Amino acid sequence: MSEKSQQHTVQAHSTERRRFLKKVGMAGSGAAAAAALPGIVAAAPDADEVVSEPARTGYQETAHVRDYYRTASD
Amino acid sequence: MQEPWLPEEDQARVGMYTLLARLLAAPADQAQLEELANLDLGDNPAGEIAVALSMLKLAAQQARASEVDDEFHTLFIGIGRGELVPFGSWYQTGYLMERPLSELRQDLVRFGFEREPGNPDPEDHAAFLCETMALMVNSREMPDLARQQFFKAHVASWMPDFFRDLEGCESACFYKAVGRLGTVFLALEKSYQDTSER
Repeated sequence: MSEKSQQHTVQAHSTERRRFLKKVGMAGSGAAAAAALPGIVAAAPDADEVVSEPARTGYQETAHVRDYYRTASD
Repeated sequence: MQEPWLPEEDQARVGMYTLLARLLAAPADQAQLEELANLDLGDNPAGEIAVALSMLKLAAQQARASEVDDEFHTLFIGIGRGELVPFGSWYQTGYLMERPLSELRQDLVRFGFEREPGNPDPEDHAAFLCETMALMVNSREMPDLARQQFFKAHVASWMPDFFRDLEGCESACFYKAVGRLGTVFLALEKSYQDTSER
């Protein structure tokens, strides 16, 4: 594919995506977008650091988790 | 929380993921119910998303915070376990903490996300995944392809089933509307991502 036709394809996709979201009424959902995140996910301060410290994201067995595990698999 | 440089359609997507994350993370309180009851859906809302949002609006107008709280606990927490188990591993293998969770954790480490300290639930909780998707769509650094792969592997693989179950749950009233919105939105996300892939 030539560079020009590639560029054309990218533009076509972008137009198509916008048209798609307009059609399904996504724009009208703007009001719902004001909600704040629940804050249960944190950005890892430094991805490399996290990779070298897998324990940070590792499985932590809490009482809550144990209860789920025990009863959910019954 | 949307970045101003984000295209309008992506701001709307961040908003939907954010809303679903909020609704699934904890019972909606009185303030949130009022917010939803007063949703401004525009003059002439059309499309499945708008219909699902008006249903949620109506459900919020009729709901009391204490009932919503009870419903949330019956559905997701229960005594021992709730009517639904909102975890990806459970939906995909029938057990908690199985392979889908370890695969998800590997990807989260790759993309620099982790659990907020104090959040006791494993990362394959529906609310965690919705919040992660909101952060990913909102991220300037994250390549489209990586986001699409994450969606396919960890969201599209089970969350449509979860939302469908929520829609049909016997104990659900307010959360039926949440299930409907999730179903409609994820179907839309899937076709949206397919559009971007071609």
